[in-house]
Amino acid sequence: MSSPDESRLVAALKAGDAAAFEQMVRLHGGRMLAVARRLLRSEEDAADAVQDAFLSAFRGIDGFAEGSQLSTWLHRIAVNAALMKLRTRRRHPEEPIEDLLPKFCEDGHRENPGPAWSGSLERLLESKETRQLVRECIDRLPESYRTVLLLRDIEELDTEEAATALGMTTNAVKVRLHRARQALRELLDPHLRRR
Amino acid sequence: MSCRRTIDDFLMRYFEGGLTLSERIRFNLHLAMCIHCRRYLDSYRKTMALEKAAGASDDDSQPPPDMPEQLVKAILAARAADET
Repeated sequence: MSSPDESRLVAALKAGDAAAFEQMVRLHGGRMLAVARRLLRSEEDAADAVQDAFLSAFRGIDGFAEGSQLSTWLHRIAVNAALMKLRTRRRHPEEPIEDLLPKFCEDGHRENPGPAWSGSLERLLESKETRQLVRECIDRLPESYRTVLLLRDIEELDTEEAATALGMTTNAVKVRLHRARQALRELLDPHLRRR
Repeated sequence: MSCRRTIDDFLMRYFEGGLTLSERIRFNLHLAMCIHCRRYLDSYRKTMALEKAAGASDDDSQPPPDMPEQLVKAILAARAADET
């Protein structure tokens, strides 16, 4: 959407125009639903989160700053709504992340370091099978680590934003992200290492 | 410097831009001498790139799918109820 068109839409939203609200839902809802699905992995929860997100946007539209991008603002609201939904879910005990981290001997060397990964990054990126494998391995991460990984590396929140969204310190986010990446690497290793 | 310290501590701070100059030197020296940690760094970098690519949909060049009409109607109804 061009800037002048978006400015007109925002003005209409601030005036409480119902048709403008519907236009916003149809224009931006698909992307917000995709974000919610990634974080929640439940169609029903994702739909609930998107509904909550649009209600928040409707109530908070007067706080939308001139010159900002509507899509960025809505993306942030969708992420927050999905995280709220995660918090209200019944929590199942998580698999300990330690089981998925690299193991070390007493002298500080890694146990079973193994061969390098085969294939260049470009070749790995081209492979649909590899991308599907990566998604499946991300899904196997303990939920709290998976969430940090998705927020930082996929949704591209910075450390401070992720910390605020998750109610953690920035240091906790950094440690959790590193462990999530390490665990993901361990899950991918048996599939991608040179034979 | 041990492989454990390299992988558990220095690697995290390397990607966050949090290594001091002397730490960077020690980190690079260890990597120069340790093929296992060089391979680990390579696979860690590939992991980061692969997860970003996997996070994007296969049809990222296409517009995102339309919202299910049922969901659009539910959202509009919720807004109308919120206004009253």
